[in-house]
Amino acid sequence: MSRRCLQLVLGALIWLAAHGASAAAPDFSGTWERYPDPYPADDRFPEEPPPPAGGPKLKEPYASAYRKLTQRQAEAVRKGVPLADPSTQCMPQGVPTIMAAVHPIEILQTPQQLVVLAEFLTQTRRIYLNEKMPALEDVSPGYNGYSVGHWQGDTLVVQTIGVREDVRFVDIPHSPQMKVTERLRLTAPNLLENQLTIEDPAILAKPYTFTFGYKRNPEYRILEYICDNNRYSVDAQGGSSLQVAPK
Amino acid sequence: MVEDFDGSSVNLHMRSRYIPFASIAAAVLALAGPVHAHHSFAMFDKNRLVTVQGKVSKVEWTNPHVYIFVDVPDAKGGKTQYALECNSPNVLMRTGWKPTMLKAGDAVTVGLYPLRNGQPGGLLDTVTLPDGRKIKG
Repeated sequence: MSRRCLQLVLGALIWLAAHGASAAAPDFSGTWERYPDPYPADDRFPEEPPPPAGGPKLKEPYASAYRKLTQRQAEAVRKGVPLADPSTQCMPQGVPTIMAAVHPIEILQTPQQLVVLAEFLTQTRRIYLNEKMPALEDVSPGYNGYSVGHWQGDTLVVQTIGVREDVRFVDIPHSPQMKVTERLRLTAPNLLENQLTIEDPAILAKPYTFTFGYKRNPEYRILEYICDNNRYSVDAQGGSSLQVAPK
Repeated sequence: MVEDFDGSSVNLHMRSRYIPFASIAAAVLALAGPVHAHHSFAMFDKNRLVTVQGKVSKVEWTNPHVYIFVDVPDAKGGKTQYALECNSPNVLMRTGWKPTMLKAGDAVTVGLYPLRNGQPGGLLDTVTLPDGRKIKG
């Protein structure tokens, strides 16, 4: 075989490896709703579902602080002045809360990116595919941090770093070194599974692993959700009250 | 039983959730559908479902919630404005609401869970439109 011929064959093989793999990758594009739905349907007084998988195992002093916080929350609810959380204040949810899909999420997938568009608060999360994770000091801390994804067979493995320290998932703190790993795969043509693991040895006694499931809804179109009429004010104790005067 | 959370007793009657309004034959719109929490609802009294009648003065079709303001006549010939919190527009649209369904001047009957702090407002349970349709909030 001539050298030129060998080059052509090798080139074709490389092209096939690259494009064949991407053609075989499952397509997660579409609008997805949590399934099974953890949010009670037709309940005028819905409460937050409990933290998934029984909640995280926290180190001290974080475990004690978390217990105190849940007691304060319960007491505030009893008094009718529930503590404001980031969602009450229309703050972005961040990773991984955005993936809890309190309202539907839409996924747009290209060979280079997976984009998660959350209906709640019109949030955007970008996951860069087949790229190297940058060093932590090169990442600008943000609500969604910086995410890269790689295909392992039919599973997209997404890693996220650089989530702002003040972002909370189920009210637990995290260190700047927190790493979130998500393993996304279709378990049926219209069912998506996301196995999440939070690793943060400074805060967590062991990695916190749980699963979010989603069902594709081809009928639904995401609506705009700009939170520009927040009528809840927060008092010095952190309690929230509805402002009834018309603006 | 007469409620008295605004200092007036006009048109405020305790009702259990399933006692029908006069317009019982009217279609009840949009009952299935997720009602997701943007916040805790502990500021509202879930054990009291109150009915008021009045005129819509303003509709705020906004996020995170739609608000309907209703002027309710009081015993002294004045009126009290109630702020009624509804779901968010995306959820309301999914459950069959139209943004133009309610407008200023409409006479409505409203079922609400009142604010626990005594302010004139509450969480909308149902609103009965001038044409008799009864809609979940």
